[in-house]
Amino acid sequence: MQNRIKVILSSPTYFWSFADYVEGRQNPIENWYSGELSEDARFQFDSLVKNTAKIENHLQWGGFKFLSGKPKKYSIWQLDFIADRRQYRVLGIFQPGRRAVLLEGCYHKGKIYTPQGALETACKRAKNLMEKRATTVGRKIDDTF
Amino acid sequence: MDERSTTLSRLKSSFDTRRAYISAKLGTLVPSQIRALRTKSDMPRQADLARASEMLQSRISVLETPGAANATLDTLSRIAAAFKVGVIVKFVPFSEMLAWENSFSQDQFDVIKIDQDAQFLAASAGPGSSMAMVSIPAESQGYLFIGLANRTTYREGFCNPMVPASIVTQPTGAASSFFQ
Repeated sequence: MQNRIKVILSSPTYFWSFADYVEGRQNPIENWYSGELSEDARFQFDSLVKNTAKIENHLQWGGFKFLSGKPKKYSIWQLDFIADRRQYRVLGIFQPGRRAVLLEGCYHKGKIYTPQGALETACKRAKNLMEKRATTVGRKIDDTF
Repeated sequence: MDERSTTLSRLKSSFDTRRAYISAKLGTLVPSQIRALRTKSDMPRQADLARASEMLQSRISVLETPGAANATLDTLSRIAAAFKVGVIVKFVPFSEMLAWENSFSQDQFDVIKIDQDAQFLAASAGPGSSMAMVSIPAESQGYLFIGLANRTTYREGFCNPMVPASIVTQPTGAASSFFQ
């Protein structure tokens, strides 16, 4: 008799939750995700978020670093990932309760960020959050994909 | 049709979607394994691993970047050899690949080095060993996953340390819950 494998999908342990920056009715992260990313990049981003949420120490996150210059004022960090032969950057900040808020998605070649002004946009959004002129919405991590 | 149904439909019908999905899992979990092993090893700097694997530090940096899934088998062999561990490349059902991803923890991932691999050093695998206990049904839609591995990490007779304890063998029944 041939054995078969039955997979019972158990929920992983997540140390972190991820959230999108929201301003008014606009969710620029979701717009970037669904409007700008290719299918390859969306799968890569989803897998990255799922894996990253399980790593307790953020300094051990793959592709993670705090930014210098003006973004340092707001403790803005970036997560790097590669898809479609592009170097993508997701810019974010931490909030209490191990919450990682995604402020801006972009890609990077040389010293050029696309969209232009991505760092400035992230700074502005971080400031808006600090001054409670913007909110966040949780980003679902899908264990079934 | 909801988002999950749409994606499932595309996974079933589109080669490009399946390739993208598989590439994303490998592109996340292979770099994460390398990073986990490096930081727990006696060569915690990328430069140390580069020296041990006879590669450039910049190459190690790329290999640890999520999405950098274009590592060749030769590159993986070099990395595994530098860590003194084995590496498995195996085609599996999507459900098994998902279970691997869900159960994987970079924090907990570690592999016994050959120096401490008593099972490997003491005996070779023969008939009836744990290596032969699981067979995948022929009709399963197998796809590739890659894990740095060591036989002493097998659990419950499985030859794949990435498969969580929540995976059980059954003589009958559905092969996969992935498409349910």
